[in-house]
Amino acid sequence: MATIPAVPVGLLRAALLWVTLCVLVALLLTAGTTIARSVRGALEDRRREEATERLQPTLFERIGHEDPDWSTWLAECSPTERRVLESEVDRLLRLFTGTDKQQLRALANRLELGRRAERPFDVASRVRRFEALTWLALLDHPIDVDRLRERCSDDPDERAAVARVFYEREVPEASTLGTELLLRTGRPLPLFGLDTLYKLNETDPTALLETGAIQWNGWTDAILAQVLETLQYCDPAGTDAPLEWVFSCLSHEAPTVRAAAVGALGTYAWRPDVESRIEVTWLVADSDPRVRRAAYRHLAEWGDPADVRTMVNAARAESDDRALLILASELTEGLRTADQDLSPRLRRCLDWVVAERARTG
Amino acid sequence: MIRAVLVEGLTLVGWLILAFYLVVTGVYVLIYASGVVELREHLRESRVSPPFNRFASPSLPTIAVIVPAYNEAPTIVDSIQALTDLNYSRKELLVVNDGSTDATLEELVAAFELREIEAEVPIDIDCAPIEAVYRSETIEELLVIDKENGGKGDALNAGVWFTDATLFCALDADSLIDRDGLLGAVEPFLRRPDEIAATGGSVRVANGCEIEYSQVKAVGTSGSFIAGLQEVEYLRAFYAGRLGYSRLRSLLIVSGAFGLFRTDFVREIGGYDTESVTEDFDLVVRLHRHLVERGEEYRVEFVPEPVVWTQVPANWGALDRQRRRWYRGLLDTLVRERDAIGNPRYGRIGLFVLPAYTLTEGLGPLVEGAGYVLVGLSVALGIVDPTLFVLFLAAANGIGILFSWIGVLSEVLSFRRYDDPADVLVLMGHGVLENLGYRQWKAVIAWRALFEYARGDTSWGEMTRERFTDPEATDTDPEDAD
Repeated sequence: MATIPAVPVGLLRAALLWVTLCVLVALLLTAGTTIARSVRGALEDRRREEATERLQPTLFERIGHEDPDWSTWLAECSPTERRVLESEVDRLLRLFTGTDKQQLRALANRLELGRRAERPFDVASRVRRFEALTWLALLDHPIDVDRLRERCSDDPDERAAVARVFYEREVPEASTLGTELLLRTGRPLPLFGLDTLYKLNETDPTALLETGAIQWNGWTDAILAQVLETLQYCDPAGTDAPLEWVFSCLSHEAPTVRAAAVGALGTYAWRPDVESRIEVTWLVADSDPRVRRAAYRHLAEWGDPADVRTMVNAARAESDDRALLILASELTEGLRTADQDLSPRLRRCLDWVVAERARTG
Repeated sequence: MIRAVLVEGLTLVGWLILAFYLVVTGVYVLIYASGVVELREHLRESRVSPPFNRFASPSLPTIAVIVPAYNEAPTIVDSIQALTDLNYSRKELLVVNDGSTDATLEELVAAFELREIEAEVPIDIDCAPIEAVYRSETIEELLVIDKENGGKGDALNAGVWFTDATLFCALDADSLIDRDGLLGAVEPFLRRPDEIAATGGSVRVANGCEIEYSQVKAVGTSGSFIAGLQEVEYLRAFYAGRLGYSRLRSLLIVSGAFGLFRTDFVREIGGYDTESVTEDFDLVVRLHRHLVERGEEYRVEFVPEPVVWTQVPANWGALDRQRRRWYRGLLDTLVRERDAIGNPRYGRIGLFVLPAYTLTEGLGPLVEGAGYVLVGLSVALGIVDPTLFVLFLAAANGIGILFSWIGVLSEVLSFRRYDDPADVLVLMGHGVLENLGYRQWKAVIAWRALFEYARGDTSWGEMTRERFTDPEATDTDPEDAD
């Protein structure tokens, strides 16, 4: 057996002693910081709670006044009370609308919160930039649309924040500017971006359809699916809006895109010119169940009797239980009245849907 | 001659234990430091909230909250009541009664006016036979699946295949979730919808808390010494450990008590393993492997706040059974996934995370337990200088206490749910005791669990539950017995 090399005990002892001392110092520092921060936090919490209880009734009362006289009130407020008011203004500006929101904006101006919204792109911190853009969306601070567009980075959160400023501040052509800005990135949109895209196009998605007509070939599958899904939630655009590219997406290689395209076209399927171009037979034979589910969900309602017949026939070979359940749910009444030739699995789905509806009345 | 061999052998073992300790401590330092950085960034990011109403957004994903329940009669109504108050607009609540032998189903039927859907479930679900499905007359989103007993994983699978929701949240029936719990856990999915595969929420100890209307109203330390030890243990594990792993994109455990997953991914890997006694750990490991093999860019993230509150064992017997089960499950998963450990094909999961877990969580307690015996023997035989041994123990336990206190400090610097400084002092005291006695006890437990694992023991053990809202209630029932 090889001999283990001996290490001088004195050296080891000295090393361990030093390590132990260092650990002891670290423990003392950690303990001191923990206790001190805990005590300080408890005191601050108490002061904030007392200030909030004191301020809230007065705040709501003044918001209801025609002239709330914020300046006089603020002059009497302590620094803690001003901080409490700042967070209350931030919270309430997201909830209030109309005159109440205007009153809060006036209070925000008196609190000089607008300063935080100035020059959002002059700060290096991503969080600070986002904070400034958030205040710009909430307040009535002046904005420079061109500067915001030019300086905005590729960060999807930042682009969503700038587009939101355009929407909230009712910038002329907000729909076109915001849509273009949101979709000029190669990364999928966060929920904030998706919601902003929806809000910008909610009542008239022409800008979104026009942007898609030009750019859809360059988008990633994820973005394309997101845009098509957003179209599904928007009101239908006018008859001259370009839908051709949405039809093209029905034969896209990605099933998520095909399914989303079915959903988007479902919004327009009430139009005879659109309905006549949708090949239901082809869609319910798609190899991916997500596309077939989308077809049953979005097109069953609008199909003519021949389309409905096609769907019921396709259901005989349908391998996906969820797709059948959707079909049973969408065509419940029609299937109940003419149910003699339903497949056993579709019948089972229909029974389930009927039993659920009987329970809920 | 024999003595010479023994001396040589013990000296070698001593050096190996020291080397092992240094490596493990290095891993912990890396993880805890990463945890501190991650917490700081999380706090900075969460300072600003985007100016929009998430709940009004049509793109907000639907979440199915799946609650497996086996003999949970004392707590089930409180838990489900807390879920109905969750601050999330698109949720469905799926309680899966896993063949309870107590009054779990009856309690649910009475409290939420459940009515049976009188039709056969039209979806093929790979789980123990489903007896009936009920929907609540009073809470539209509440659905109860009553099935034969198949274990926790089987009950979760019933929910995973029944739901049509994009995401599902696995939640223990004996836990209470903060009102904003679901919203907090889903936030990473909302920010990066294409990347996030799962998020794990923070779990804290409810034993010392004041509960009102199924919500934690005041957070405090428990009067029970055993629960107190676990309070600081949970703080350290979640606020230092899991945050650190999350920062390193290496989170391997999403607690079974509170985790949010993409439903399609979990279905692709066949759902929960019904044979595993730690189905949560097993699921995440397999999820990692599956997504790496598919070449997906994905993340599994930890969300430090808000939290789920759970009752922890308040007696040594129950704690002993729970910890032995956890350790056996850990060994079982590591053994089954051994081909991925150190395998470059699995990137950071194969080369760092699984080896780190194997060293720290798998071998760590065993080596520690063996170390006390062997080094003690070395001291007795005069091979190791007693002063050295004492100094080593002082340094090692000091580092352990430091890690525990970092968990407490992280809590104080961030969410401050323990807002009374007296409670913080109690936590720090427990942080000391966690390393001077409790940790050594866990090393013994690990050895026992190793022998049980070698014997093929797969039992869950029993644990008693009490109602959250009524401390006077004494009706308890066994839980989780397979």
